[in-house]
Amino acid sequence: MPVVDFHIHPTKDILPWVYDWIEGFLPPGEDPRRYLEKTLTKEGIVRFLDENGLDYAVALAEQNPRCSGVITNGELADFCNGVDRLIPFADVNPHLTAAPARELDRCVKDLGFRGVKLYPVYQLFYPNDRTLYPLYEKAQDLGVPVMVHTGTSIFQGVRVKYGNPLLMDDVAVDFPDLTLILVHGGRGFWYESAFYLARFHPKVYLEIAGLPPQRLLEYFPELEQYADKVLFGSDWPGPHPKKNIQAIRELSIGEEAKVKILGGNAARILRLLNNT
Amino acid sequence: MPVVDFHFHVTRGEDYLRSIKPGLRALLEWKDSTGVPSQVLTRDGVTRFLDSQGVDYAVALAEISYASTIHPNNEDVAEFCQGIPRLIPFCHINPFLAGRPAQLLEQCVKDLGFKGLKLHPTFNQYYPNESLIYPVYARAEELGIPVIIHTGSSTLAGSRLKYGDPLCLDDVAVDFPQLRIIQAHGGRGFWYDRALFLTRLHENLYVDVSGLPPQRLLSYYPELEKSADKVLFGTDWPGPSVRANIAAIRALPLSEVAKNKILGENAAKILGLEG
Repeated sequence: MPVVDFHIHPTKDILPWVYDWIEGFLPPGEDPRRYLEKTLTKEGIVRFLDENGLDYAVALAEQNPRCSGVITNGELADFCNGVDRLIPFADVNPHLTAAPARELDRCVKDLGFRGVKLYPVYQLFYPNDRTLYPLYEKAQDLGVPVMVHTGTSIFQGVRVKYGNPLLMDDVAVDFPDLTLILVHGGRGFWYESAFYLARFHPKVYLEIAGLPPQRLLEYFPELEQYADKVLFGSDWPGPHPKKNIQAIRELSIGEEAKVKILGGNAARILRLLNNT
Repeated sequence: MPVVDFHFHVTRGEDYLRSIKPGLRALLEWKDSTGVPSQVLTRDGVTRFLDSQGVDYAVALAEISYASTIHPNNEDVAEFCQGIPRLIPFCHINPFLAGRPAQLLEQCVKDLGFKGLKLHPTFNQYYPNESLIYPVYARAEELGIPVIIHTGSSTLAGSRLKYGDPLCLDDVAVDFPQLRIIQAHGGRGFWYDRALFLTRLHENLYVDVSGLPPQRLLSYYPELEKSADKVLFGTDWPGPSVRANIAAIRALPLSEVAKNKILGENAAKILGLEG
């Protein structure tokens, strides 16, 4: 089974506080700007995947001029082009387009994107708002998964009220064939509701980027039982995947569950293996 | 007495036309050959145009509304208006694209020379009495600049009418009593009565009549004469013809005093212009 990081941000155009955050995960003295410069090239990113023991990584576009930074869909497509181990996911910011479904269609059909991530707490919208419904319908038609940020974020300008995972219950009910991924698993104070939704809805998954992996069983006591619905991700260039993969391997759950979480489930959702 | 167009878009005509919903394009008057925006929107062209239309000053609007496809940004509008004292630049703030919108407003006014602010809730999709935008009002009040806020309907793609109810501005007028607020388009569509009512209730509220057929103003606002202190002429150019609209207002059965106020005196006071 491959190891898949479902959550990396190859964004260069970032806001000042994001540099501070990145710096906290680097060896003392390493400059975050220089680190991004050297890693965010086609050779650099392959080196990053190898060094971290990753077979694949989901690379996320983000158009968050208020809170974190910007790498547009076009820029991300260029970055991923020719690096087969990167799986590009688009970002559709409903405040930047009047036609979210059309933008997703363009990203998937013209730019080769394999999914989309939404950032409600950064872009200030409720993810069950009707403005997003054409996008969900389109994603369901195209058969591409939708990632949605849930829970807290430490960046300036974020509004956490848009991060309640229960808002996604509406979407899961209204689009039963759509694969939905609850990013950060409801981080902060919604672990229980996020886990409930993943358990209850067949196509809803929980992604654990940005959570300390050694504490996963505290947040999700039934992790092993529902290991089919949990996806590993790091949120790099925040937390680095290598260390987090190691921490997951050391959890007191079965080997089979670990393999699913670290890549088996992702390989199935992203159709990474010929026989899946 | 100057004539002031309080609502003038310095947007390239091609962009503007593209963003009109196809079925509604015929509504716009493109017959006036002097009104072709790409010819007008040069430094010399705009002065010639204002002369030809009988306008002394025009409020030139930035508009950052990607979701409705029009986006002359603040920097471009500031640059275009520089050295043309007859254009009064108003910046635009889209609260979904600026992490610190109040700070941005202050930069626009102090560094880029903007004289006022335009907000577009129906394009940018927020209620104008939401807390999100309140820091901007507070800063505008402090800076002493007027704010134009779109009210009522729009023919542009991506616009959502629910955010255009003038009644939302009752909150704003109460919370920022020193802030001068202009309800653009005077509640166009079906909110004319409450838009004008609010100007009577609140000293700091005005309406502009841009984008309304001027010959019908008295059917929308039967008490226009009584409210003449609170009404501002504007065209929404490059939509309608400026000259024709001025003539239509002059032909209304109103007193000369009221017409002069509407066509420029009120605006000159708000903008601090020399008569």
